[in-house]
Amino acid sequence: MAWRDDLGPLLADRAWLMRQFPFPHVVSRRVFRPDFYARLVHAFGDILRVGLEEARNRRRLSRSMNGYDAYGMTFPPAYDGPLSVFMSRAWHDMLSGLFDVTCTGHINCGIHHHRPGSANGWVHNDLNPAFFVDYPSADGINVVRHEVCGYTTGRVTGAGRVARRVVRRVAMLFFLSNPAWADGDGGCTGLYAHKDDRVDRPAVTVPPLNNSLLAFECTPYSFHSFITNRRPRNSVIMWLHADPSDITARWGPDRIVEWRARVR
Amino acid sequence: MASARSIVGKRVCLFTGASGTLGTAFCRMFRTRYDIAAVFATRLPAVVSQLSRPIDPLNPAASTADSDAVFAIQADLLDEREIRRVVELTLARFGRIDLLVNAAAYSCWGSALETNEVVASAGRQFDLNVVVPLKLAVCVARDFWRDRSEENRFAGRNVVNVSSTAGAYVYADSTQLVYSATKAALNHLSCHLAEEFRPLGVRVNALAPNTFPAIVPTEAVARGIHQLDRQTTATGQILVMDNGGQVFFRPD
Repeated sequence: MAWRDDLGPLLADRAWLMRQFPFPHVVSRRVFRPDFYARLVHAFGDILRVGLEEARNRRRLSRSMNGYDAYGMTFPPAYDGPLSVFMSRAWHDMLSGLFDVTCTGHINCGIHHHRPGSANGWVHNDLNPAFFVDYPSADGINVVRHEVCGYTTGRVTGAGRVARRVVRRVAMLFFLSNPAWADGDGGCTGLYAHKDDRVDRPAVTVPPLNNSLLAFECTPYSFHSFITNRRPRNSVIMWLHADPSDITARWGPDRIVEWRARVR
Repeated sequence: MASARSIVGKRVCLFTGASGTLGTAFCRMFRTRYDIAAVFATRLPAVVSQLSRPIDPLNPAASTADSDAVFAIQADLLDEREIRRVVELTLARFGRIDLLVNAAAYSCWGSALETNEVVASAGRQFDLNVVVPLKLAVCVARDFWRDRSEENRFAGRNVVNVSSTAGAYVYADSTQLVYSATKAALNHLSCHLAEEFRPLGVRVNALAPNTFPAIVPTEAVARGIHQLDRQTTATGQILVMDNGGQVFFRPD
């Protein structure tokens, strides 16, 4: 696909914003050109039309995230539709370059759908471990394969496979296919100065405007959460990953937040 | 005290509600013409500021200096201490205030009989849409304008309160009963405040657009603010902007 080599023709403009408060993050309100954005919306619509499932189902938007009030679906490595732009080497390198961090090529990319009235998330920093089974790829991109290796557990299926432990390094949300947003609709991503801030009292909010993007480096201080919504909210969500030694070198030992079971 | 001759550079604008649709448009369109103190609640203004620098995703290391960055101020304007702080910060940063734009607003639409929220939020709507504009204007007047009448007239200093046609007309849709009452109050407030500020040499007007961008382009509303600022004599007027054009109105 053309965009694997050059993102320039797809981007609406290159005047994104790097903000510092309450922690460094990048936003853009006009990511893709209208024609390409329309293709993304169409592709997303195809997925939504399949329907939502209450039981865990990797092939559909389903309740797949324990303790999180949303439907999610991860793109498999073989996905080749327009939304695969987010799984490209070009996009990976662009995102990691925004924060000048070295990432390994491991990608977890999917979509989230929040029904109206979805519960608040919780304040967290996304600095979590992640597990992949590496496989050869021409561009060095390793897309998560949940059926082979548990992303949060590292449990592998099948003989001869070894789980590699990495850590989330860059997080990104891209909003699409949402109703026109107005103040009071909710569904914002809250950004917080402290781990124990009330989820309904963020320092800053980022609204789910269509064709907009929020990205940040996962650090001990990248506190964020989903905030409840009155209207449906759809997003592409993805993480890039890095070697855990990078975190230790930068922030010291014991800063990676191990996964805990959450009950909704 | 600065003399009329010492006023140089861009005009200084204190703009509340800077992260809203209108605020974003105004900051983008006019940041080269105004030094803007952009007040926001929780959404950072979507323009370059001291908190936000431009970054090219395909060349992130490129230089990003921008001499027209707005000065972003986060504040809860329902807290009176924050109103004082906003004015102090603006004066400390720019040394003066030439234009105060009260664009921060809160609305809650619905049936007063069918829901609790409309009545429960009425106080907040009046506070943010009417009382805060009054408090801010009075604070700026006391802290800066009051003893500078000649300078104010020379500099064309003024207040623009962003109202709505909902405050001028009674639409059939009753779900905006509280919101429209606040905008009607803001219109009257603007006309009366114009008389109180007349000895100070400061004009006060209201801008009353119809729904933007659905009926009136947002950019046109932003230009309406600029137009009122550039007016040398209009005071105590309501500039109504609708799909048929615009007209000055005064509820005499």
